[in-house]
Amino acid sequence: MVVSLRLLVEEWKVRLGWWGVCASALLSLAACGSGASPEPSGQFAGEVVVFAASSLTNTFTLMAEAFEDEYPGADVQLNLAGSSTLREQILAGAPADVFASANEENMKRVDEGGELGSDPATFATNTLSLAVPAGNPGGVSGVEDLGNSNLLVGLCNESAPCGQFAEQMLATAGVEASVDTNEADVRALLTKIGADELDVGVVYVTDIEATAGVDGIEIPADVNIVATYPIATLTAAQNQELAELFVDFVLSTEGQGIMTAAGFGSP
Amino acid sequence: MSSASGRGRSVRTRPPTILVALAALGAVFFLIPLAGLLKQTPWSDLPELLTSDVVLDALRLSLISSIAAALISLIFGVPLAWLLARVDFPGRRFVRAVVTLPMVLPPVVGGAALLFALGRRGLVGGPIYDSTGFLLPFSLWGVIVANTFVAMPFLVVTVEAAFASIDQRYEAAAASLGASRLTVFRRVTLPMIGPSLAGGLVLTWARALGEFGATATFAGNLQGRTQTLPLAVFVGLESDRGAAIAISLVLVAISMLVLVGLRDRWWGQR
Amino acid sequence: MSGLEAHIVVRRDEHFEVEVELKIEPGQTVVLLGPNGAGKSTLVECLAGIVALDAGQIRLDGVPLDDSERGVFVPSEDRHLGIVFQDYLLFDHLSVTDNVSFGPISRGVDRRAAHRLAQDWLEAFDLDEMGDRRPPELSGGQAQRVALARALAAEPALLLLDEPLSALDTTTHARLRRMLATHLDRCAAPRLLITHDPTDAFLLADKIYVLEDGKVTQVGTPDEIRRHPATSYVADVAGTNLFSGICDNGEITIVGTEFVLHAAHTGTSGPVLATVHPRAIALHANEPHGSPRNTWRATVEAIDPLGDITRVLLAGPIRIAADITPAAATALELRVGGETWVAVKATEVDVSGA
Repeated sequence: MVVSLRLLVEEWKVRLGWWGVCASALLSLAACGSGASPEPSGQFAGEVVVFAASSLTNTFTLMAEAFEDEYPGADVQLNLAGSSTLREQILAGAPADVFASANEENMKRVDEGGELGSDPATFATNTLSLAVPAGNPGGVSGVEDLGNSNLLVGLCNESAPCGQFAEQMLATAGVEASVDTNEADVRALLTKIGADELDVGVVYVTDIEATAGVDGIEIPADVNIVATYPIATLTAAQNQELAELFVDFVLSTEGQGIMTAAGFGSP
Repeated sequence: MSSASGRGRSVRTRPPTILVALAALGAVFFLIPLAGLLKQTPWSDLPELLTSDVVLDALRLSLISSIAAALISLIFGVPLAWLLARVDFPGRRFVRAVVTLPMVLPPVVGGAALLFALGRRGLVGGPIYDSTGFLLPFSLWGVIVANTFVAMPFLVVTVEAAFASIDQRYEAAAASLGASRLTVFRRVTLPMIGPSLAGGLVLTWARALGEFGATATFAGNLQGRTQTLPLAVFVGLESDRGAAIAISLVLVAISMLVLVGLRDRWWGQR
Repeated sequence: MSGLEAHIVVRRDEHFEVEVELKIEPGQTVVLLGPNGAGKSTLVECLAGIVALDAGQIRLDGVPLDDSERGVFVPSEDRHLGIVFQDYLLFDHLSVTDNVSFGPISRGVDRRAAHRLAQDWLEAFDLDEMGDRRPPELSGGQAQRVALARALAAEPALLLLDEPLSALDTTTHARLRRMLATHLDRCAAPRLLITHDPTDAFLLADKIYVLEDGKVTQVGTPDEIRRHPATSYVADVAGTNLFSGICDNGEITIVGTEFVLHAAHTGTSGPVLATVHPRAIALHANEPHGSPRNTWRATVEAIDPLGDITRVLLAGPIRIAADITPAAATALELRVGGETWVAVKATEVDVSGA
């Protein structure tokens, strides 16, 4: 629905030139030619479609609002899902302008597919944390408890970055986890922990703050991993300049402020 | 038995072109995805993929859970359908709506609802877990429950329609011959709805075999314990596409085998 | 007290109440005759145990089956009935043998004994070759006999036949009626046959109950009813003149007489039933001339005024009843013992196979 609407708008932009852009900007409730924007230029107006990893749900929602405040002609559309799902969608030709991944691997696969419009830049780092239901009813104290078969243990499944990082972390710590379920993505895992249907799971530090009903238990730095989040524009981008503008914004002081406020590390 | 054969010269009437054209398009719509799947299939690796642990585990779990779900649906669904069709009790419309709800509900919602009801902190699951330590989620039983929840409505709906449509005077006739109500049900009512029951059962089983959303949400995903074929496909699509396609082929093959083999025999009798 | 004794009161709605007093001896066939909507099926439902009485009681062989005052209600399966339904309702998924043994097995007879019993009944009805067939493979006559065998194999204390002949075409109808007449005697229990067809009633009944609008309007033997109909409905349907005869090229010689009735169109020859509706009979003071093929002189035996019609019973070469208007009766100066001319058009003589 959104996509088809967007295609319609794109078509009208081509037919009507600047006036079409103006109209589409009006559609997105931004003022056009009213003087609210200091530089009412075509390259700053229009829509930018951002495919972002689901662990970026809260931060990129804020990021999109801040970007639209900065460039009133712009309209950010977010598509949030597991990084590998997004990767498959991009490789299948989805109309995306920017890709923000939760790991290097998926970005590399998109690059290999020839879909990257710019070199990827690291915009955030993240580390893992144990997540337990509020109040820690299972009495989890550390990483070694993941091997306790009396506890209900959940991870992200191996195709999601949080699952792969968890595997690395467990290998470093020398713990063989007694896993009860491999959830599709970090959101699904957090839902079950929040509902107290699982005793413990491995998620990102940033998820602990953002999720109600979930407490965090620190994973020591010597076994923890540092996940790096790369971002890049895509060749499929309709408006390459606007896409680059968004990537620059994420890397700017203001964008980095949003990331660090949510608990992400700065590269 | 068709009237065209047997007597006289059979006369071929030409079917209207527009109907044939639309029907052909409709059929192609179903064929194309199948062709897409076959084209992507890594045929040379297939034997190895199909005998991998992941596939064999998922196949075993899928068969056990879908057959179990069909049997459970039979045991509870047939009496439920009978009750809905025959007994005029207060709240019948409400009960019917609740029973058919899983057919229209997104399975993920169904799975979440099951979790809140039967999970270890759930409405019913909580007390059971606290007193016995028995846990449905993250076990094969959880998969069976999720499958049954999503698939049983298909049996109830089919069989209820059959109960409602048969001529009840046959049951009166049986009763007048001295048959108790249970005997009437067993010897007259059930055989009369036989074809619908068989059809409904196949539909129920097929739905259980393809169940994904409710299973993932309620029972979780663990190879060898709760990972059925559809879940294995989902995981595989993002990590090992060859395996995912191989599993998809297994699902298609089993389903086609049953639907082609049984559909005509049972549903054709009506 | 053996047999059926019933006083049935059922309120279907505010405007329609069925109230019937009924008594059937063992081995006696009672026919309940009435138009559609008279309450016949309600009565069957009460006797079968599908509908409970609002008042009154049903006693079978002295045992109360339904007694509204004493709160007795015996369910259908415990009433020991044999019911032959309008379209037989044979179980299509069971073989003929299993259909017939259904009753005995339901009543606790062991399977093998029940099958032997079924076999005996099938032989009695000339169906011994049919045991393995399914009902859809049977002809209409075979299906009727299976239905009857199934009802009788349950050794019913009451045999109910609900319109067993009404779904049939005319030729089959006559044949199956004959068959039914012969086989009914195999049942020693009270027998109640429900029908709206007066011919069936006259040929099968020991006693006829006429039901109109939920009430019994007349009870009597077929002969009594035919001679002295109590209402215009009875006169209309139950008063039909019925003769057995031998037909030859449209000429029907009435059995036991030399009298010949001319019929307009008949394909059949040999034994037939000829019916003449009382209203189709014209009476004349003098010998009529012209179109009617059948004319004869008769003596007036009785004159019954029934409201808007007057029934005149006539003796002569054959006994026949005629319905004329009261005005015509006056004009003809009819009196008992007097004479009159009778005229019947050949087209008014209905002929069916006997």
